This record gives sequence, structure tokens and C-alpha cells, in this order.
Amino acid sequence: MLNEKELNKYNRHILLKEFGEAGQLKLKQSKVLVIGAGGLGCPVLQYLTAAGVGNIGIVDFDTVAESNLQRQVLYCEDDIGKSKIIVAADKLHKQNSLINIIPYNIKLNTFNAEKLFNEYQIIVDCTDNFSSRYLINDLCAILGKPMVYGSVHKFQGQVSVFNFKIRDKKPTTYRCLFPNPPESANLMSCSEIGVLGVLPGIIGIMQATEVIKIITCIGEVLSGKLLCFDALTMQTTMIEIERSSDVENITPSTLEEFINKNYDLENNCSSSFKLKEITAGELHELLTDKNNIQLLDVRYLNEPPFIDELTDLQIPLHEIENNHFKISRDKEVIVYCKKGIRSAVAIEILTNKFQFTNLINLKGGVDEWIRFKNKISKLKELL
Amino acid sequence: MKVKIKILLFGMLTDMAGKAFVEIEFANNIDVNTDTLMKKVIELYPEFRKVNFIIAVNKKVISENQLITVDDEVALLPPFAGG
Repeated sequence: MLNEKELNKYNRHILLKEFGEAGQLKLKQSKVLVIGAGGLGCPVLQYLTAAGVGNIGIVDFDTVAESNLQRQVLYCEDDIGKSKIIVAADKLHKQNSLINIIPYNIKLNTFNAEKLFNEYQIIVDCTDNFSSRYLINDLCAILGKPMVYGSVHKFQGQVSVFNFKIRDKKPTTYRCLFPNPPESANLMSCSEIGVLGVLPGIIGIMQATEVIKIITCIGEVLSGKLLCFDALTMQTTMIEIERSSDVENITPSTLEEFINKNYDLENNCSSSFKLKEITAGELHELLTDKNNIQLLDVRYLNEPPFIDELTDLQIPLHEIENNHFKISRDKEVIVYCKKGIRSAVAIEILTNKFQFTNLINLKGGVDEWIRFKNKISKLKELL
Repeated sequence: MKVKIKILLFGMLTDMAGKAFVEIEFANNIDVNTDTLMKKVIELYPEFRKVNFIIAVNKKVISENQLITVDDEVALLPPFAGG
């Protein structure tokens, strides 16, 4: 039963004849786990909270960074540096005190996931990497729980509901679309790829819509279909997906198999590889004799900030394999990007595929370089 | 006479090609299927090989080789990682 306060609060839902008090009661009794409290997680959490989903679990282990605020609308400037789930839980509680918010400050892995998933009916995938996505997909398939999937890339987004059974038909899973993680998973997971701030908002709200539809049994759930949205053209394309015939062969079929599977793509890629790094300060010293080094920028062409003293050779990461011959083999080559992540991937590819031995990563990328230069100029002012 | 088949690109493929679609030309007297089409696409953009994209014809994901006509809408969809 809904109490008077709830009847009043959710009045606009209850007025919908497809929904009514019965629909609202289903929301109140439901348990939804949201994995990731970032760009997608924020709108999902805010709307599920507002809608009166009775029990919402949040999984994240990250802290709020300034560059999150452009799209992660639960957080404000005062929250920078604080734990995302703590801030999120506090704000969501203020938004709706009638529901339970359960924060989990953990990194999802095969050992902690099962117990957690068992507490919830629906799992919402708001993660930003392939390791977690395949892990969530496989466990949802084993436990028979719907996975509401969303992801974004620059101006485009994808939404679907996997592992949602319609009658006796076997459901589609993420592996029906993409059987295995991409070879270049590291490169594609790189959090440095830009994204239009409103896009995860749009995609996240679509995910929240699917969650509400599943719980209240209204409308048609986005299962067996992949919704592709493009913010630049405002076009929505609906692609039909079929259950793949060999999905059973590539998905762990038991919990035991699942627990023993290694989902950590990052570790897979870098197991036999040791990265050499240089700090901004050390590079500053090296630059006194520019003839002995080559500087390689692997950011997108025209990607800001533009740094005159570091400009030398430019090959965007995705073109690195076709242009490896441009890179010096006898000088020390300092490879850099914005934060030092893409450049590390570039070095790994060049080392493993083309046997380079003279590549050094600029730790922290140009962001760190700028910080270092600012520090020096401040020191000079003091002197 | 030649026919042009238009292929829509999504996500990272758009970045790699630098545009939202590619057009592949074929002589109009030969049969075009998704395999021959993909071979030409990969010749043009070898880096596509690194992305495990799916092929959709007329808004349906295909699982095996199929014939293509000029009127068919072909789209290549890579996975997205961002959240």
C-alpha cells in the first residue's frame, strides 16, 4: 500500500491509467542496481529516485573531478575530490527521502558481483569500460536478470535491454552484438575521448525509462533491438538484433566459470610490457638539447592545448600503425597525449607490433607539462 | 555503368574515416554481397579491422554473408565504451 505522502508525491504517475496506484506500488517494491555514477549514472539515478523506485543500489569507486561536472549533473564544484557514491547518496536522499539508497564503494569484480546482483532485480549498466560491461552481461545471463545497457561515444549513444525474456524466447545479450571485447579495448575505453555533455543525459534518461517500463510492465521493452542515437542529426536508428547461435559457447555458463574468468582487459594487454616514463621536469631538462630526441604527439589533429615547445611529430593514436615508419628508431622518442593514457597505449602497440625500444611516455601528458611550466614561472616571479 | 553503395558509419569508424559514410563503387553487372563490400571497405580503411563492428543491412544485424542491392541501407556499428 502507498501512504498518503506517497499518493501525493507520485500523483502524476498515479493519474496515468496505464500506471495507477498499482504501478507506483511496483516501483516502491522494486530493487535496482546502478553500476557507475558518472555521465549515464547521474540521470539514471536522479530519475529513478524521483520516480520512487524503492531501493536503489549505486556502485562506484571514483571521486568527483572537475572535468566530470560538464555532464555529471549530480555533482557541484564543492564536491570535487569527494567520493561519488557518498555525494550521490546524500543528494538523492535529499531529492526523495521516501526511498532507500544503498551506496557501494567498490570496484566490481567476479568475486563481489554475484552477492550484490542477487540483491537486485534489474542491473543498469552505466559503466565506461568493456571489462565491466562484459562482466555485467555474463553475470546477468547466468542469474537471469535484465541488464539495461547504455553507452556513449562523442555525439552518439546506444541503448538496449539485454537478457530480458519475452515469453519463452531466449533473450539477446551484449555478446549477440559484440561476441568479444575489441582488440583495441584499451584505446576505445580511454576516458580521454570527448563527449557532448548532454548526450549521457539523453541516453541515461532512456535507460531510466526502460527500467520503469520493465518494473511496471508498461509499453514495449527495448529488447532484441539496439537504439542508436546521434545528437548531431537528432536521428534515432533502431537496429534489430537476433540471439546469436554461438552465444552459449562464448559466455560462461556457470558461476564457477564466471568467477574464474579474467575480465581485466587492461591487465591482459599490458602483461608482458614494461612502460618507460619521464616526468615533465625531466623532459624540461632534456629539451635543452632537442637534437637528440623526437617528440611524438598522439592526440587527435588540432586537439587543444597547443604547445609550441613540444610540437614535433604528430600521429594520432588511431593512425599509429600505418605511420610507424615516421618514428625515429635511434633517438629517444618522448610520446605524449593529454593525460599520458593514449600515449601509453601507443607505446604498447609500437613496442609489441613493431619492436620499438626507444619510446618513453610523458607521465601525466601535456596537462602535467602545463602544471609544471606554471609552477616554474611562478617560482621565477618570486625570485 | 557503375553503381554506388552507401555505407553509414558510426562511432569510432566515423573518426577513423573522417566522415559519416563511405561510398563504394561496383560495376553494375556483378553481384555485390556483404563480404565483397567489407573487403573493399577494409582496403580503404585498414584500421577498421581493429574495431569489432557489426554490419546491419536495412536496420537488421546480419550474421552471414548476404546479397546487397543499391537500395539497401548498410550500416557499420562499433561498440561504444563511454559512460
